[in-house]
Amino acid sequence: MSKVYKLTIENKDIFSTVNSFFQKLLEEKIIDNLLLPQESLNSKSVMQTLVKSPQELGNANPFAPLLLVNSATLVSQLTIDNPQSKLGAVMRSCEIRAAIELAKLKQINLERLVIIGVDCPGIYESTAYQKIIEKYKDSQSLTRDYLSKSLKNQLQSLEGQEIRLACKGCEYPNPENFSIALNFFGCDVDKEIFIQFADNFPQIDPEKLNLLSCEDNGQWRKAIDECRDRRTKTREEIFKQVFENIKDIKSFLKEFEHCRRCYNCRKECPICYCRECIFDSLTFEHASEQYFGWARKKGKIRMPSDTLLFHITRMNHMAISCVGCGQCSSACPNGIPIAKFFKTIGFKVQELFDYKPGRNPDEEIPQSTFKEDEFPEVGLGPKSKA
Amino acid sequence: MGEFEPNIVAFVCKWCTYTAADLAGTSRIQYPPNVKIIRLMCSGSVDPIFVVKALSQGADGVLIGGCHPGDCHYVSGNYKARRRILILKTILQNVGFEADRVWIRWISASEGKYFATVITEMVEQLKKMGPSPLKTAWDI
Repeated sequence: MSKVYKLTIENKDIFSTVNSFFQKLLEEKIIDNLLLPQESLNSKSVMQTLVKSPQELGNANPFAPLLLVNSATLVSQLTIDNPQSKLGAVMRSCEIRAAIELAKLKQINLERLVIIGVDCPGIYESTAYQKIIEKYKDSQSLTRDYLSKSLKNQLQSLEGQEIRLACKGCEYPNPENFSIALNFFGCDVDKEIFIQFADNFPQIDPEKLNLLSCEDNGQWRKAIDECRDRRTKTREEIFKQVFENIKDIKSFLKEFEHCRRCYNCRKECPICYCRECIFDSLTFEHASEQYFGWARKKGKIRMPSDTLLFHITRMNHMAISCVGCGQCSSACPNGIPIAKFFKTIGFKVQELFDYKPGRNPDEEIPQSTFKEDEFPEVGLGPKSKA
Repeated sequence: MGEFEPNIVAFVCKWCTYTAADLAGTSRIQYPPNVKIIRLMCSGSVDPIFVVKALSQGADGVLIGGCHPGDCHYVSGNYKARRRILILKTILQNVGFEADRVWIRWISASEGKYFATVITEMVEQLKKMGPSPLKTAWDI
């Protein structure tokens, strides 16, 4: 259970109201620094900023439907060396879940982090966002439209552009494992939104933060449940479609025909944290004679080789922690829907251990632990031991 | 063209399965010569990447051999291998590759006969399955 408050929106301006809330968090020293998205200089984009001065929040836009980087990677950079100060970070569910996984991998120090979660109706790919913003004055006006449309559940498209496929099938519209959450589903964002504080969060003075106590956030819960149900259905459709398409290894390879091995998917993946990936090492750089030998054996081989090995290995390393944020697909220069495959197959791997990435910071990642009496059937031959 | 002879790469631990293979040899137990054995210190040190690499470079099947659960020389290496290989097999299955080409078996140092049985069975099964699709695929 958590403590719920209402934040009244002043002058129908959700941005300035939320900004002054963030300002107070900084002024009251609840956080020392704040990582959050702000409008770019020409108002056509939204980028992550690290803010120290409460006066520098004027362009904050924590709800903009754009995700240039999964901020879990930035949070890692800002907490890995155990700073003395508290970092606040405005994050969506996929970013929080990635951060929890990174914390398990010892890449984030959760003790130095105040997670400020926001509801997420889904985001647009950067290319789509750039088309949409042409029709708007700035990102704030775009976001306002986006919020009002998405809250009426009409967010299939804005200016003809659709939200990211990963978001359509994301069963986590609301943040969990937050310290503070900004909940706006089911609200009239011109009037009020809900603010939740985690139970273990230090006592705050609601008056100082302009918060009104609130007994019931049922309307929010109902809207979230509806959204989750709808998206879970979409997710199942995506899963079904993936499995119908992958009949054998050849059909899987077909999906990666356009892979140019740029490794952008790996770079953008919040879970792929290795400083030196095995594919950057010399492990699979063979002598020319070796390649000639393989070409002789098969008649010809694809170059660069080991594309399948790369994708299966990346799956092996991160699928168990895949939060399905969709950054890999977004990063692919050739438009391969990587996230669709990784999330679907990741889900299958996670099922083995009843594991949900990002669910609980106290859980261990399945590869780093074991139970003695699990999977007794593994390792026994069908008839050998008889 | 003779009958299809499967090509098996076996990653085995030094303490149990490799010793079992040795015992099979010194006891003159016959088993098919289709297996190439790679000795490691522990089944827990089998990186799944090399299982996939073997499959992509012409192995029809890969065997991972370790000590029985509870008997690992390093206490828990085989428990970790069990999870890792299970994850790998699940991934292989879901990308459309027959996961039955990857076997994991617990074979103790005294089980020379069992080692021979496992290899015989694996060769039989792989003969039924035919050559690995990756063996001829050039676009991997």
